[in-house]
Parts: sequence; structure tokens; C-alpha cells
Amino acid sequence: MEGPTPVSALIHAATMVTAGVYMIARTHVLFDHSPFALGVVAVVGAATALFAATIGTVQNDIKRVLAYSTISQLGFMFMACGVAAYSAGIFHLVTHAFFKALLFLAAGSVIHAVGGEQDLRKMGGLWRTLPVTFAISTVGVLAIAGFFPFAGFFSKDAILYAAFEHGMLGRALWVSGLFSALLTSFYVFRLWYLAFLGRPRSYTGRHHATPWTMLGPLVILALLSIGGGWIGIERFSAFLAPATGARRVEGGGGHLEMILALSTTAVALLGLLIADWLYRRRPDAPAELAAALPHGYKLLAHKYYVDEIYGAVVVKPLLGFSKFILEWVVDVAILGGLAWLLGGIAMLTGAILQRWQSGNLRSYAAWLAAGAAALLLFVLVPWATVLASLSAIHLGMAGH
Amino acid sequence: MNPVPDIFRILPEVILTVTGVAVMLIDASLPPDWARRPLGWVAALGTTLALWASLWQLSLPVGTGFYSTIETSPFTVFFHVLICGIVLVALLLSLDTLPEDSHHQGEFYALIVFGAVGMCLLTGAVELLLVFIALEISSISTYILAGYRKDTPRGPEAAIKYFLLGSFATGFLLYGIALAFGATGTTQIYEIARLAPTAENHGLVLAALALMLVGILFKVSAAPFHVWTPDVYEGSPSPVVALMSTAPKAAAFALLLRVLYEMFPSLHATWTPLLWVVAVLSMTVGNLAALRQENVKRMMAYSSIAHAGYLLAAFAGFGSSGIAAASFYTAAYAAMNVGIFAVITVASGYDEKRPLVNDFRGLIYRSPLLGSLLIFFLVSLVGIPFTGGFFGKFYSFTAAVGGGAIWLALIGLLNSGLAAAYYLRLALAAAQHQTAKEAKDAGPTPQVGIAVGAALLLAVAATLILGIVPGEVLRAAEAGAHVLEAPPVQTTVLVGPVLSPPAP
Amino acid sequence: MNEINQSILTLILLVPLAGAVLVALAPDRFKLPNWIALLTALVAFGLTLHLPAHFLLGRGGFQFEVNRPWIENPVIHYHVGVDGLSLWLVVLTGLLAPIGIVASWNAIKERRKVFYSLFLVQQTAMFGVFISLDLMVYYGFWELSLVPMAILIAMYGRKDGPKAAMKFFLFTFIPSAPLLVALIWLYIQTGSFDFTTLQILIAHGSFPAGAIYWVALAFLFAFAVKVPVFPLHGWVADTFSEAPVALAMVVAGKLGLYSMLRFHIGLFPEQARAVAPWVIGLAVVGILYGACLALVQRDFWRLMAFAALSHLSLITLAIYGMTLTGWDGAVYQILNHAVVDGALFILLGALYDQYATSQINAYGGLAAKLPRTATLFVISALAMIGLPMLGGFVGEFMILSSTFSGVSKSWTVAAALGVILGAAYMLWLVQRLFYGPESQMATSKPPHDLKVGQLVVLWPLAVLMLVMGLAPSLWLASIQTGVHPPQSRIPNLSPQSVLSISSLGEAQR
Repeated sequence: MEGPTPVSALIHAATMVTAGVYMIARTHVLFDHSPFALGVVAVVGAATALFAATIGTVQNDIKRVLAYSTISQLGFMFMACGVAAYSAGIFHLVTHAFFKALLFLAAGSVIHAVGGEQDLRKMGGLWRTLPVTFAISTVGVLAIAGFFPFAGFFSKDAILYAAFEHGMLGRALWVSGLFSALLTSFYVFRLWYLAFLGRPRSYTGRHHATPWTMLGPLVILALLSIGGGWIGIERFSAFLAPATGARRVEGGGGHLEMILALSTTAVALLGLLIADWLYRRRPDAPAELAAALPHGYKLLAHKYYVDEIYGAVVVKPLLGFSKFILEWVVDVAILGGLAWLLGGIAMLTGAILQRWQSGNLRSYAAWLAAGAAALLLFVLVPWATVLASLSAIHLGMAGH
Repeated sequence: MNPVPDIFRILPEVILTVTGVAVMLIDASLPPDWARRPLGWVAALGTTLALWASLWQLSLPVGTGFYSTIETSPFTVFFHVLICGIVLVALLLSLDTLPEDSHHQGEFYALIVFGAVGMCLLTGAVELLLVFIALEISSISTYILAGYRKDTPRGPEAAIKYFLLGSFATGFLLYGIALAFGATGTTQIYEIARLAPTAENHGLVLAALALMLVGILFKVSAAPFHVWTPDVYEGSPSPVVALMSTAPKAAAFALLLRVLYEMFPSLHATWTPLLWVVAVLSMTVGNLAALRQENVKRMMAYSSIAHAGYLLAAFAGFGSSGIAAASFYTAAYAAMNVGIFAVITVASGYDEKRPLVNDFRGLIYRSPLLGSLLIFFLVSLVGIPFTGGFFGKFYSFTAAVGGGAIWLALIGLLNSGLAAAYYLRLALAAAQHQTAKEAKDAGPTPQVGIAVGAALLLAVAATLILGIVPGEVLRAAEAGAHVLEAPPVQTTVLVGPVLSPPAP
Repeated sequence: MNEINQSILTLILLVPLAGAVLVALAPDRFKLPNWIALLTALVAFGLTLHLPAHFLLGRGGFQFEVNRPWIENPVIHYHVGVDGLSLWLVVLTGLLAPIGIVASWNAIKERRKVFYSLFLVQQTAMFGVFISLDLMVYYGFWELSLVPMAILIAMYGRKDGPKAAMKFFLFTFIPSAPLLVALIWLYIQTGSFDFTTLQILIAHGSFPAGAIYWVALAFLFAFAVKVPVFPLHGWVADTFSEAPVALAMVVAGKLGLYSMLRFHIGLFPEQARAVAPWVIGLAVVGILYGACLALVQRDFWRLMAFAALSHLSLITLAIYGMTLTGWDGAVYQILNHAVVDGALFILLGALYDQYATSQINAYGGLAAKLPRTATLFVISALAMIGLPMLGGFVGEFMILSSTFSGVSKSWTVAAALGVILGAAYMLWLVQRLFYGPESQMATSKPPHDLKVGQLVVLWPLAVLMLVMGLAPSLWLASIQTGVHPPQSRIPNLSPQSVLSISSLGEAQR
């Protein structure tokens, strides 16, 4: 998220963060043995999709929007894995790689063009200055929102269908997924409106023409975002079957399939309409809405305070515990104190022993005589006998 | 077996006496404005000759001379060589460090040599009266040497304290001798050993043992008879402390070994626990009191008390292992202690204006040689392997464990851990950076002359040899131990006056 | 070749010692002490490389063995040899010496003779510890290693060297008192200090059970302080703060851990098994405790000290897990930890030399100014965290997996938690030192990035971390020959020979 744009693109879109999805698909044998674990994956996935999407709706940094969008799409993939539709998850991973890389690179192109500005509120009207980027971004936006026939439609539809088919839990997941899809559509179009349409707002810095070296990859990705989904989930599943198992072949037509596909498209359209209404027709509405729901807005803007909660629940207590209990009490006070005490006792005894050394001759002579007396006592008193008789007396008393 | 002329039995003592007398006479006959330094070389030469003579005595059959009053055996040779070695180093040390203009330099050398005569006699004597005389010879010269710096207040005080307390302690010894005579009717050690177990009045024998131990433990500065040590060491000139913290102690330990293992082996069960207590007390008291000590010489005085304790631990060992360990320890302790006092002598100078631990700060920066040597000897005193101090402790505690005194060994070794604290304080002070002001205060860099260099070389070599290849020395100590365990067979039982006409 | 094999270990011991003498005698001019020391260390390193080159993998037991009588009474033999356990530790010691010297090249300005001389003595002592097979010789080197360390810490300490040196010395010297008593007791009982003889005698002989238990405990105690094991770690933080880089690199860990494997578990397998649950408990506490304290340190030397406590406790855990894989992993992790810690110490030393502070919050945003330092630091930090492909991963994985399958699942979870915390404090350290806004100190001083001399030692270390992560079998093949349980190492022992050996012991007693 904070890295340079192409790096973000690569990391977020294709490789690193999706590794988890890949890992689940790869180790699906383990997950298949534990329906509970799968359920957890599915619920976590759905929740991730929803939470990240809601956060994405209020972000103003263009790259942050995309970053939360990535998290949200990852949630979709997890959800797919959680309902054992591994190939659908991987399918979405692939299509998502196309359009998310595209969006990131397009965003990079935009940022480059407006002189490093990343705040959406300061952009606007860029379709005029960056027509190619605008066109390409539109493809990406349509793809991620899930419009037919763009790539995102096919994979997202496969996931939602698989969820719907997955019993009671699946229905709930489907509802949540559908709502996330709506939000997805909304926030990408919000980005699209803010960045490209309307009037240029207050970005400083000169316009840079986007060079073809930047546009070339974008075009390729755009083509993939358009056509990448046409391969279809059936063929993709068959392709993955050796790895993910061929138990479920998703899709397969029918009314249900059609209804679900239509509902997916419908929510995408709805998202577009809401964005259109809020950011084109009533540009003041978002601010009013935020003012009307201050708590909700703040909650979203602060990402549900997740970082803060981690900080308060894990990091702060851990650091405090380490600092005060472990370091000060255990390390310094107890362990250090113990060593200090041992040293102190030795030193103190030493000081007392030095007092012995009065420098006074008479006392020295007295000590000498006392020592001699002690030695004589030691040698002359038959200690063994004395001790034996003492213990005998003791025993005798005990006997009484 | 050819009878050995009696004079050969005391050849080293004779050589030393002649040397001492010669030094004194030359000193008296030289014009007052001539330097007395060459006299030191004469004394050193005599001591070296005496050392060779002692070694030569090894070729004599083990036996006694002068009517069974003096013995020559590997045991006596071991201690003779040790004492002569120490005296030699002390002489070399004094040669370079006594100020040119100090008065009575000739006497100084003569006294050292006379002291050596007493100590050598003490190790060879097998007759309690001779023991007493030898002890007095060595003590009196040491008393005088302790007060050699008459111009400082501490010097005479040290001498008086040492003299009075020493006489007091010797009184106990003498009383013990009298009781031993009373119990057995003889003062010949072999005879007492033979008669003591069957003595009518066993209490008298026990009292004799106790009182003699008082006298001897005073000389080795074992607790609780150690109180004199710090004051005397502090007041005496460093070269003298180098001598008197080692040579008279070595002689006294030889006497202790003789008294306990040769004279009263029958009382083994009595004196073992006694020495156990004394050993623990000595090392603990010595080390604890040294911990806070700021004056280096006082610190080393306490250290010597602690070392007496480690040494006494060897007496918990059975028979020859204990004797050998104690003898070896004496040698190891002498080597490193002479060495460290040599360094202290050179580093703090004759007048000892800067006697505190902090005054040694940055010694390794001022004089790398002295600093390194100081650390080296301290490391040996700590008991780090590959130095004499380690094997000394090792043998001593091995003897103790062999004798079943595991706790003594454990206490002893923990004590040496405690001791590391103050040895290290001095060593680390020497290794520490000094500020520019301190460097200025510290005065000129101490120089190491030829004689001191030779003395240091001897001490370092001895410490290293004892630490890396201790085999030869240990073998010598064991040979001595066997003699003590099985004294030379007495052919003629001495009855009647000791002073009979000389043999034809 | 045979003659070389016979004398190679002796040469390895003597070369640094000879170098120490040479340095002491040579004049302190033209950086002569540095060059002599470097040359000697390189020669010694070259000699150590002879060992793996001619190590016979198929053969168990000790190789390059020399066994000559040294001292008659007590029977001490100059008995040295290496097996799979010590082989790489010797090489590692050889490798770290020239690196340490180069790292001190400019940092040590005064009394270079003393420094390099003592450094080489320390080197000899450490070689001695790893190759000695006579317990007395071993003890000798073990103790000897304390002295140069203490003196050099006192001489070159950053703030209060003498205090740290004293702490270090007392902490590590006092526990060796029980060790020596235990050694003496063993000798009195058996008449031998020889490792293999004692191993056989203890395995088959009849000692009073209580006594041998205490003897084993005395061994463990001495080693545990040196590792360190919680709660005996009091000396580490001060020592790390004060010790010159070249010595801090070697002070903790390998001597104690190796001794645990060789002389505690190796000699007293049964007694070690009896105390293992306790040691494991302490090790797990140490892992978490060290990691937690590392999190809250403000001084990077102290952070490294507690990090070391955490990492070394992990190795202790593996050692007392008593599994073969754990032992392999432990030895491997000892090597890896030494390499990584060495690199980190050099880098932190370079920072300290330049900015004269070890307060972490004084740093910040240095990555742009010191790109080389930052790069190497990140690589080393990642290796320490245990990133796959770097050495730390292999060791940690072996340790955790062996603990999981062979010891206890809950301990493994706790230990893994420590590993996670390890990532937290290391990455946080990286972030605070090199990233974020540039601190005032960083802007006010002209940057001096690593010089050629430092790069020459650091890049090989970084490459080594990578190779250790990618091809651990290069090391593990020979390590595995060394950690087989002692029972299987003496398979051809017929009852008669056991009898004859124990009767030998009787005779010597």
C-alpha cells in the first residue's frame, strides 16, 4: 500500500497476498477433512469481503481504495475456498490479478500524471487529459464491479453460485457476498467518478503525458480483463481438477444459475447508480451523508478501529507487561536484586570483618588468645562423647 | 651405607650463613659513601649457591645429622629450593627498588639471608628445640625487615606489632613443645611420633598439638590467627612483603606438615576436622574482608589469608596426597605471590605514595609490561588454568575430595569465585582507561631494571611451569611426602643430653 | 596426509597462540598488530577448513584424534579430536576470527597489541573447548576463555567496561566451581578424565545414584550460565552493551550449548533426561521472556542481548528435547545464529562507531543515507527471524518440528510464539533504525556507509546465510554423524570390555 505503484500492483494483485488462497486450495485435502475449519474460512472470507468493502467506500487515497478492494476480493476468494469451491476461488484469483493489476497501474499512471497527488478529492476530470488511461480504467472498473462480459463477472458469479449451493450457511454467505459485491461496485465507481469525471479540482503539479511504456502493459491487462473470464468456470475447474479434486463442477446452466447471474449484475448496476447519484448528480450528498452519520463515517474512516483494537488489546498490554512486569519486576527487581543482595551480603560481611582489624595491638593479642582457647577446647573436649550424651539427655527428656 | 658427614646435611644453611656474615662484614668495612648495591649481588650469589647445594643434597641418602636433629630428604630439599628461590627473587627485587641512598642497605641484604638460614633450618629440623631456634632466627630477621622503613610511621608500627604478636604466638609454640616433652619425655620428632600414641597422659599430647598449632597457624596467617597480617603487610616495604608473605609461610607450612603428618599422625582424627574449620574460616574471612579493601597491599594480605585456607584444605587429604598437594600449593602460591608483589613494588615505588586500587588505574597503558604481568599474576591467583594457581588449587581440592571432604572443596572453589571479585577489581583497574589528569597524577612510567626483570622472569616462568607442566614439581613434592609418611629409620635412640660431644 | 591429520588440531590450537605471542612482541606501528593478527586468523581458518575436507562421513566417533599423556598425576592426557558435533563449530570459530579482526580494524585505536594478542588467546581457548576430549583440558580452555574476554571488555568497554567485565566474569566463573568439584569427584571415582572412558564408565559403572545426579547438575549449571538459560542471564545485557564487537560476536551461545550436548547429555544421558523437563520449561520461559524484553529495549545492544537469550533458549529447548532431529537442528542453529549474530553485531558496531549512541530512538531514516548498511542489516535480520531460504529457517524448523513431534505440542506453540515475537522486535528494530522520518542525528552527521573492508566480510556472511538456507545438507550430513546417542556410538562394546574398563577404573581408584 505504501510501496511504489508497480510494486503494490504486483504484491496486491497477483502474488503475495493471494498466496493464502493458493495455500488453502493446495492443502484442500486437509480442509476437506474438517468442515468446521472450512466453515471458519468461509465466514472469515465473507466478513473480510464485507468489512474491507465498507472501509473502501470512504477512503480518499486512490491507492488505499484499491488496497481495501484487494482485501475485499481476497475475502471473496476465501469464501469460495470455504464452501469448497476451490477452483472458483482460484478462478477469481486469476481474473482479479488481471483487473487489479490493471487498476493499480492505471492509478500509478494517474498519480504520475497529476504530479504525485494521491487524494481522489483533488483529482477529477482526468478523462480529458488522460483518455487512454481513462478508457483502460473503465475496463478495470467494469471488470471488478462484475459487469457482463468482463472477467470479474464470471469469477464472482461462480463464487456466489457456489455459496448459494452450500446449504443454510451458504445462503447467508451469498447474501453477504452479494452485498459486498454491491459495495465493490459502488466504491470503484466512486473512484472512477472522482478521478476521471467532473471538473478538475485542486491538484497542483503539471500534467505528465503518460508514456507508451506505461500504457503498453495497461492495454494488455485491459484485454485480459475483458476476455479473461470467457474461459468459463467449467473449463477452469476441469483444468484444476487434478489439484483440487473433481467433485464439484460448478455452473451448468439452469434457471438458478441465470437468476443468480442476473442478481450479480443487478447489484453491480445498483452500485453504479448509487455512485452516479452521489458523485455526479448530488456532489454534496457524500459530505451530508457523512455529517448525518458521524459515528458510522468515523468508524469506517478509521477502518473499524482494527489497528487501534490490536494496539489496545495486544500490543500495548504486551509492551506494558514486558516493560513493567518482566523487565522492571522480574529482571531488575527480582533477578538483579538477588544478585545485588548476594553481593551486598558479601560486602557487608567484609565490612564487618574489617572492623575486626582495629589496629589495636591489645585486641589482636586478645584475639590470638581467644583463638588459642578455641583450639584447645576443640581438641581437648571429646565432642563425640559430649554430643552423644547430650542427645541421650534429650532422648531421655523426650522419654518422659 | 657410608655415614654422611654432618656438615653436608646443613650445607645450604652453612653457605647462607657464610654469605650473610660476609655481607655484614663487607658492609661494615666499606667506606660509608660507597654504594651498597653490589652487596645485594653477593647475597644473591650466595643464595643461588645455597640453592644448588640443596639440589645436590638429593644425592645424599635420606637421613639425619647432628644427633638426629636435622634431616635431609626430598622433603627438605623441596622446601629448601623453594625458600632459596623466593629469597633470590626478593633479593633481586630489592636490588632495583631500594633507593640508592637508603641507609643500612647492607644490613637489609644480610638480614634477608639470615632469615633464609632460619627458614631452611626450620624445614629440615626434626628436633623441636631446633625447630624453635630456627623459627626465631627466621622471625627475628623478618621483624626487623618489616620495620625497615623507619622514616614512615607505619614501618615501626608494623615491626612492633609483628614482633609482639609473633613472640606471643611463638610462646604458644614453645609451650606446646614443653607439653609434648612432658607427655613423651623427648623433643625428637620421630620419637614423639613413636611414643605419642601410647603416652600416659593423652590430654597432654592433645594440648601440645593444639598449642603448637596456634604458633604455626599464626605464622601461616590462618584465621583466626590472621589479624596481624594486613597491618604488617601494609607497613612493610613491598619487597619485604614479597618475601615474608611467601618464604616464612612456606617454612611454616613445612613445619605444619611435619608436625601433623610426621609427629602426630596418630591424632589424624582430631586435627582433620580442626583444620577443616580453620581452612573454611581462613578462606572465607580472607576473601570477604578483601572484597572492600582499597589498599592493594592490605588486599593482598587478606588474599594471602585466603590462600592459607585453600592450602589447609589439602590437609583433609589422606597421607601423601595431602602432603604433596600442600607442598605443591606452597610452591605455586609462592611463585605467583612473589610475582605480584614484585609488580606492586615496581608499580607503586619504594615510598608507596599511591597504594590504592584506583592508583593502579591504567597501569597497562602506562606500562604495558607491568600491567600485563599484574593481570597475569592476578589471573593465576584467581586460579585460571594454565597457571600455577590453578594446579595448586586443583591438587589441594583433589586431595580434599579424595579424603572425603567434598563440601570443603565446594566451599573452597566457591570462595575462589568470590575472590575473583577483588582480584578482578585490581586487574580491571589496571586494564581500564585513565583520564589525562590521572595519567599526570600517576607520575613517571615505572621502569623495569635488569634485576627486577630477572625476578619477574623467574616468577612468571615458575607460575607458567607450574601451570602447564606441573609434573616434575609434583613428583618432587610426592617424593617429599613419602619421606614424611615413612620417616627415615632411626637406628640410635637418643636418650640423654642433646649436646653430647661431636662424633669422631 | 596422515601426519597432517594427526597434527592438524594441534596446529589449529597453536597458530593463534603463536600469533598472540608475535603480536605481543611486534612493535605497534603501521597497524602491524592488525596485520599479524589477521594473517594468523586467516591461517588458522585455512587450517580448520582441512577438517571438513578430510572428514570421513561414514565413520562414527572422533577423527583427527591425538591422545598423548600430558600430566602423570592426575592422569591428564592431551586428548583432542572432532566429530560431527564439533567439526563445524571449529570451522565457525575459525571463520569468525578474521571477521572479528576486520570488524575491529578501525574501531580499536589504542593498545592494539593487547587487543589482538588477547583476541588470539581467546581464539585458542575456544578452539580448545571444541576439540578437547579430556575433561581437564576442556575445563582448562573453558576457564581460559573467560580471561581475555573480561580484560578486553574492561579495556574497550563503551561506558562502564570494568563493571560489565566483572559481572561477566563472576557470573561465568563462580558456576565453574561446582563444575570443578564434580570433575574432581569423577576423577576420584574413576581415575580418568578421558571423555570416552568416562562415557563408558558412567553408562555401565555403578556410581551412587544421588551423587552422579548432583555431578550432572553441576555440569548443567555451569553450562546454563554460559548459554545463558533463564534466569541465569544477568550478565548478557551488560556484556553485549560493553564488549567490543569482535568479542560480543562470540561471547554467548556456542560454548555453553556445545558443552551441554557433549558433556552433559553426552556423559550423563540418564541424568540429563531426568532434568530435561525442567530445562525445557526454563528454555520456553527464556524464549518468551527474551523476546518480550527485546521488544521493549531502547538500546540496541540490550535488544540484541535479549534476542540472543530468546534464540539460544530455543536451541536449549531443542537440545533437551532429546530428539535426534532436535540435536541436528540445534547444532545447525548454533552455527547459523553465530553467523547471523556476527553480521548484525558488525553492522550495529558500524552504526555505533559513527553515531556514538546505541539508543534506538536516536536513529531513523538511515536507509537512504546508508543503503549498504540497511541492505545487509535487513538480510541479516530476516535470516535471524527465520525467513525461508535463509539459514535461520532450517534450524528453527528442525527445532520446532522435533519439539512438536518428540516433546510436547504446547511447548512448541509457546516456542513458535517466541519466534513470532522475534520477527516483531527485529522488524521493528529495522524500521526504527533505517526507515521512518530521518532523525535529527541522522541529518546532522555526514553519512559514512560501509567501507570495502567491512563489505568484504559482510557479503560473504550474507551469502553464507543464503547457502545455509538453501543447502543445509552440506552441514547436516556431517552434523548427523555426531549427534547419535552415545549408546549407539559405542556399539562394539562387549560385556568383557566393559568389565575390563570398569575394573581398570577400580584399579586406578
